[in-house]
Amino acid sequence: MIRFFLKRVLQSIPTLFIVSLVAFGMIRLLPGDPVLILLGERGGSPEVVRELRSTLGLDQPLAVQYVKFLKEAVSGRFGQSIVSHRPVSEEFWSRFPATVELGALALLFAIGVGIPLGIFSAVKRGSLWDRLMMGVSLFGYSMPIFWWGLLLILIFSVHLGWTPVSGRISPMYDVNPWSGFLLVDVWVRGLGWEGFVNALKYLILPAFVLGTVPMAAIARMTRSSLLEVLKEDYVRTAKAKGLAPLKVVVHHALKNALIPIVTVVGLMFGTVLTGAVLTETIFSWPGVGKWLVTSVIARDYPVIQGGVLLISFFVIAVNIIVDVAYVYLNPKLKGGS
Amino acid sequence: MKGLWILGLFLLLAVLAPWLTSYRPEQVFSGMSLLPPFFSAQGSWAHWLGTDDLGRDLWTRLIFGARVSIGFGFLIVFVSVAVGSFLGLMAGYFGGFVDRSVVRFVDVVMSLPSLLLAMVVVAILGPGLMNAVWAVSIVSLPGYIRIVRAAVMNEKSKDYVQATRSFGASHGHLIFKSIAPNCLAPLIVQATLGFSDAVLNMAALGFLGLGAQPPTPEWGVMLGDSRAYMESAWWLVTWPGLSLLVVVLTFNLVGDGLRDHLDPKLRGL
Amino acid sequence: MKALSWLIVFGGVCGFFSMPEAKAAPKILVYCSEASPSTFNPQLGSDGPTFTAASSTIYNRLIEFKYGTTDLIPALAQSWKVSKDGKTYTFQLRKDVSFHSTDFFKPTRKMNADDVIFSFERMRDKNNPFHNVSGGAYEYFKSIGLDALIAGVEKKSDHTVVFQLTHPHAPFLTDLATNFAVVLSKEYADQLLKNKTLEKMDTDPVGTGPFKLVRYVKDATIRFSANKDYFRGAPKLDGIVFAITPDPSVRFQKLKTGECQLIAEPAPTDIKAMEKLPQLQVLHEPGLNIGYLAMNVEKAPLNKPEVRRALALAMNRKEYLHLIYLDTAELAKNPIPPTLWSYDAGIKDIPYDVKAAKELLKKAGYEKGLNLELWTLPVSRPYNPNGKKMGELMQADLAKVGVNLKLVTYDWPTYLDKGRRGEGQLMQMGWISDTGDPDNFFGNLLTCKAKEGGSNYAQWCNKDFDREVSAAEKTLNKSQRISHYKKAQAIFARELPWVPLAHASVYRAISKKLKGYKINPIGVEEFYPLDLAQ
Repeated sequence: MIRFFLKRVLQSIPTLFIVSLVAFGMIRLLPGDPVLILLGERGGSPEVVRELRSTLGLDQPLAVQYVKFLKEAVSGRFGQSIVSHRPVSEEFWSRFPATVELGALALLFAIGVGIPLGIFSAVKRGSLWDRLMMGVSLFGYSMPIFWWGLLLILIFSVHLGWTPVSGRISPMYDVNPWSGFLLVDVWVRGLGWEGFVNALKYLILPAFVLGTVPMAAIARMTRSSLLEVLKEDYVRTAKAKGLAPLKVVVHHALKNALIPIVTVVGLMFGTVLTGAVLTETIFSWPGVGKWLVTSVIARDYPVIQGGVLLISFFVIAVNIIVDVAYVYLNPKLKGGS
Repeated sequence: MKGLWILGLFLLLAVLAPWLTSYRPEQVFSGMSLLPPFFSAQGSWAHWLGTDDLGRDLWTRLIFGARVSIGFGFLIVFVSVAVGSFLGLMAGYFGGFVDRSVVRFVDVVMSLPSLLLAMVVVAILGPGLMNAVWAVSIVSLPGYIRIVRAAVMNEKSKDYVQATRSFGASHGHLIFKSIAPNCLAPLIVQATLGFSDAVLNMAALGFLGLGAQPPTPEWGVMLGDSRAYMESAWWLVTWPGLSLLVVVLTFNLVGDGLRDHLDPKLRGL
Repeated sequence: MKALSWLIVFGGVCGFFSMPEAKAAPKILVYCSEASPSTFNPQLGSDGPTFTAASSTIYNRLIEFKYGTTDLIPALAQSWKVSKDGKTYTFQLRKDVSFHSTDFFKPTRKMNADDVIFSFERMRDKNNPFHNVSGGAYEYFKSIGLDALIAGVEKKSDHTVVFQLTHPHAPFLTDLATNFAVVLSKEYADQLLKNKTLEKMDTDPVGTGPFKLVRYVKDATIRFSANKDYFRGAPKLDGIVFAITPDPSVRFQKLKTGECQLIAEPAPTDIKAMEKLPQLQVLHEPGLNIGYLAMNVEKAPLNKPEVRRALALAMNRKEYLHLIYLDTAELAKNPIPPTLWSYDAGIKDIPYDVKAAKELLKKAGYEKGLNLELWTLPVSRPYNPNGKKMGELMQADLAKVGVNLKLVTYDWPTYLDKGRRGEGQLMQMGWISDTGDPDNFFGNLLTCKAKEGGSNYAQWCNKDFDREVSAAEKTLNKSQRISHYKKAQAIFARELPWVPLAHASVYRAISKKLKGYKINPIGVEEFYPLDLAQ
């Protein structure tokens, strides 16, 4: 098992390397000079521009810049944001918990609703319930996330006033970040239930919006893989032995059905990250997604390079974990994938 | 196959757009901006779905927008299927270095959230409809490459292929005449699903202001512009989003149906 | 016994559920800002959010603007003298100003000349240990030319500072009142040097201002607490919270629900709705800005003044005021707004005259028509809220005189870049002043030096104009300056490198609970004079 894990890790290193090259190279192809953006309408004399460029290290030959970038990246440093002059890693890690908290809650919702939905549909196959549930999941699967978010904001925040429109917690609460996860920090900083409920109110709508598509995908996957398994001989044998259908499902079928489900959940990680970019933009959620969008617009090279590299690192890491889990659940596949 | 009927209806709307309305999508009716739909108090039948902030007829922009979203969705799928299948065929058939490079390429593209990658590509090429098409096509490649590659590798080992080879058939003949036709089924299924992804990605880019440029009517752009009017003009938010949802939904329905038809084994994947 | 234990349980449960009063009874203003600040040291940034968050909250300058006006008042400097040749400025500093006392820094002395000198040396002297901290890019300082202008900053005594300039520069005092020219604490700097934590200068700021920075949660909130020892007296507010809300309609939402009492940059489309709400008050004032269409005089046929004038005559600019600015702006004829001193109201306005436009084009040889490219502003700015819409209107107007416009746009950074290089023909642009001195408009946008620097988008370089503007810059005599600027405006009106479009009014929406608020012509918010009704 460990050998398999190590093999996968080693395989991923060249991929990461190429990603870093692509991140570095592509960003440099972006038109628009970050120095000029900083100066805005005011412009600047050619010497001012030249000096600013050299201060930011943008006048070195590309190869030199790339090597410097790599060397620092390996030690977890990604340079300084052109906009804020703070280390990119600091900017990334300070926003990362917000995105993770949102994504985690979204995935929790997706799994917590999607799997039971899929199970019930599989067990009650062909019934009205099944068709209704599958209709709902088809909807969720096809929903343009940015429209869904706008619609829900319109209904729940603007018209009904049940949920706040943006932010993570009421500005009246001063929460000194401890872990960065507000749902945890409110307890650490003594704001108790009131703070927790308040933070939850801000989280509910974005998490629901973000989790809709993964929920639908997981429901569909659960249903179909469960159906596959239920057809298998050994299940029919169990049924013949007289075990109750639900028990059959849970004890025998589910474990084997879990494999493709785990794969889908792993795939959903990428979907959640993509969705987070849009969700964070709509809800003004102070996470990594929104930060990257703003940085692309501002041509903040170090941020885009570092952000792209860090994100792909996480995606690759999750893929490796999923692969390992896959192999654990199905030892027959250890040989290849 | 209810999906096919709805899809057909939308395609018809898109194709017949110029005849279904007496206005042009860029036409500005000064003084008529932000008119609500016909069933509202200030609405009128002249602009039955309402008008936008510049006073352009919403119905017109919606059906012309259908041409953009659906038409370019097809284009993206066509391009990415063509390129993806080619790469997958080469990788699966020739193996070795070609295979490893293609797999590496797929890994790199897949290690980034698709929207982010598309955004950066569009930022390089400049905002615009065609550039958004290239960006989304690149991002859509991995799915097709993988499917075709897997199918080719599967077929390659089969008896009939060995037999044909022993008769001295060239690579080209083998690839295109023997193996490829057998990979079609999963490809078609993936393509229908890919269509919805393509439409959604393009609309997302439009929403962020990176896709189609004014005055081109595109549903994502229309949604992005509607954000400022969420409270005052709900119809600006509703119609384009609803159109997107229905188009994507019907394509997914058709895709599901196709899958059931072509290969029951793949059902629910 | 049982009753007692139940009582204990009951008490425990109550205790568990009785939350500490987390909602603040003290007066905390919630301000919905439009973007995150790029830094907390205004020396390093030039964006509005940075200035609003730091310049007059955490810091002070030597001279400042009287609230709501562009008049200069003493601040950290209580008086000053200028030498006859205009090259030596002597400032007497106040003796009663203290820096913030915080958890991480306790000042042992009051503000003195060392602090002022350090603040400017940090920007000027490449060898100053703090020069390269946080990027070392002092954009504002450099772009208004102060690095070349200031020959030296000297300490005459503990409370006297002398600035030596390389040449007389009338706007110098206004420049020192601008947001970036804040005074940092040398004592704090020395402490950071000793602990080798120099970046804290800009992330954990220490200033003399009415508010102290408590906490910044990135992209989310900024908290300030009142500085009770502020030299002008403790502020009436106990604290401020900036809620960073990039979407203007969301800001409006929050203002409506009372979550914010003051918002940044309300969208023009929301103004009418805001005016209808009883709990809100909408204020407006003419702004210190100009929206214009730059005509690249280096590209034929725009090098011919008749062609330029024809284009101006053909545009129905009053319609733009109505459709684009939604009647929140004034028609422009000069590069500076009417509220700025030296504005020449006598300059004749450009009428809307299609016939005259056609005549001029015929005279210039373009009777058959003309093809031009118009760049439309890709972002919404106060001086032009909707570039693409305006472009479409201009297109329709110019078609009537046979001029065919192709509308083009680029994303903002590319737009600025290409414009600076002079690649465009017709380019929508604008300018928001942040000093309130006419030189900030004339010198920055229309001189030959500005053309070199890239902020003269019409690429216009006229010797007569330059002479007047330069003379106005160098003399300290205000009436002389006025006459020079009036001559400059006449030259501008004759040559018309721009089609002047509009001076947008600045709109602000506030909760009626907010007291003491005035619109700041410079655009940056000040919080010291504000109070909240409970």
